[in-house]
Amino acid sequence: MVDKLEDVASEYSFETNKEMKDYIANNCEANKGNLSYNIMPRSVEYDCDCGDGSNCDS
Amino acid sequence: MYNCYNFWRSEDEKLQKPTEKQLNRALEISERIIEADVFHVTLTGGEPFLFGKNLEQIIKLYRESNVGIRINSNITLANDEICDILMEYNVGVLSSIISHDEDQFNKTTQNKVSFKRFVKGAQLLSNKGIYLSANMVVNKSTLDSVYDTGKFAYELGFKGFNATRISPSNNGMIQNYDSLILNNKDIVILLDQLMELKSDFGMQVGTLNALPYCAVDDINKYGSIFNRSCVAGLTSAGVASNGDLRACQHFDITYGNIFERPLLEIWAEIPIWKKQYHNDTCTGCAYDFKCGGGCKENAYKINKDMAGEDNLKKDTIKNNKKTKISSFDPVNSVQLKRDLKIRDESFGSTLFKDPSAYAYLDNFTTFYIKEKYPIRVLNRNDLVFIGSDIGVDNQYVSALFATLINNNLGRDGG
Repeated sequence: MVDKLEDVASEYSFETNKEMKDYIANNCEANKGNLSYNIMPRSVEYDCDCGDGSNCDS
Repeated sequence: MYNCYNFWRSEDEKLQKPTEKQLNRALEISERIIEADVFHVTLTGGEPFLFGKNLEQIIKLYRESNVGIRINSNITLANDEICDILMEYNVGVLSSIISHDEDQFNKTTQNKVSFKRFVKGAQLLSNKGIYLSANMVVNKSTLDSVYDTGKFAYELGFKGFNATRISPSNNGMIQNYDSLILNNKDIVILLDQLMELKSDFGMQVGTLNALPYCAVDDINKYGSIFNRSCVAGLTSAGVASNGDLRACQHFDITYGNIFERPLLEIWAEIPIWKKQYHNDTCTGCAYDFKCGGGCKENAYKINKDMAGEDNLKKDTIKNNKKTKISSFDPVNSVQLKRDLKIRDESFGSTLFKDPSAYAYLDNFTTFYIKEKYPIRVLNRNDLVFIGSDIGVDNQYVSALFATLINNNLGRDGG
């Protein structure tokens, strides 16, 4: 299902930042390569660091 | 799919309206598209306005499932009933436009009244406040009239104007294609007229067919026009009226039928055309895969090989003018746009605003954005603190901010 972000926002409720930080440490992954992938469909240009920097999508 | 030229040619007022069976088929196709969690759909044809008031059933189905929708039409059948539907569901229209010249318009459509019907339709839609953009297919004989046609469209109330080079017709309708095809000199003339329209009238201009980035000497001169590239099998597909799934709606290579197999199952088997049909002479170009070498349909027509050269391809480009991620280091926060949509993925999510504004996010950013969307502000220090245990640092945040700002999903919040 495609969701409107406002409908799925604040799915979690944390009392403190520490609580959220712990949740992230146990459940999330930060993947910079994933961000580099974002230039793929368009020629939005920024310097990514996947290999030679000129063919970030492959 | 119907053939729009045949539709244009009909001078008979008793145009063939879709039967109940055809309407049901369109609704079934829509349900399967919705099931596949597609973000955006463009209804094309044939002529979608032929559905008349039944168009509402189709549009409503998509809208209720948060799927964005646009319509491609020749707008000659626009009436109050259709306008009311488009207004209620806030649906914009991309109309084909032949020329500002009535004789040329009617000659091309082989219909003596098509120009007048087009003008009437445009005025009706525009007066109702429906977003209108136009697309002019340009060949050698119409190349010099791009500006005048765009100006004419502006005066009719069109907000956007696209001029697209003629593409070969798979069905062989165009016999003398070679004499119509645009060359590199022509494409510059076309693009310069578009930029003039943008400058003179503030129109949103573009071209709807993928051009090789080396087709002109300096793509930076043409702003966002060169943001487009072949997305067949990458981010878009076309569904024919019989359910056949195509990578490119212009090219009748089909990969399966959505009435026989789930759309997502077929989609997973479609190759990314600009990778599958990579032209080896593009290797080493700074824009190689981003550009993809232009249009594969064009390459096939010219070379009988989809991996061949687009006729506008010139030399490889050595220097890619990049915006460094580090240039986003001073950005302390990003304000997200309103009305964003999100789809969970195996890698995280896809964040979507419209077909030209979306990004792929990992599950950390997905989590954070969902958590922060009520205030729509992403803060650098907060991100680094909250994600420090999983490797989130300032460089990561700069890459994230570059993604969101460059893809028009957010703006620099200071």
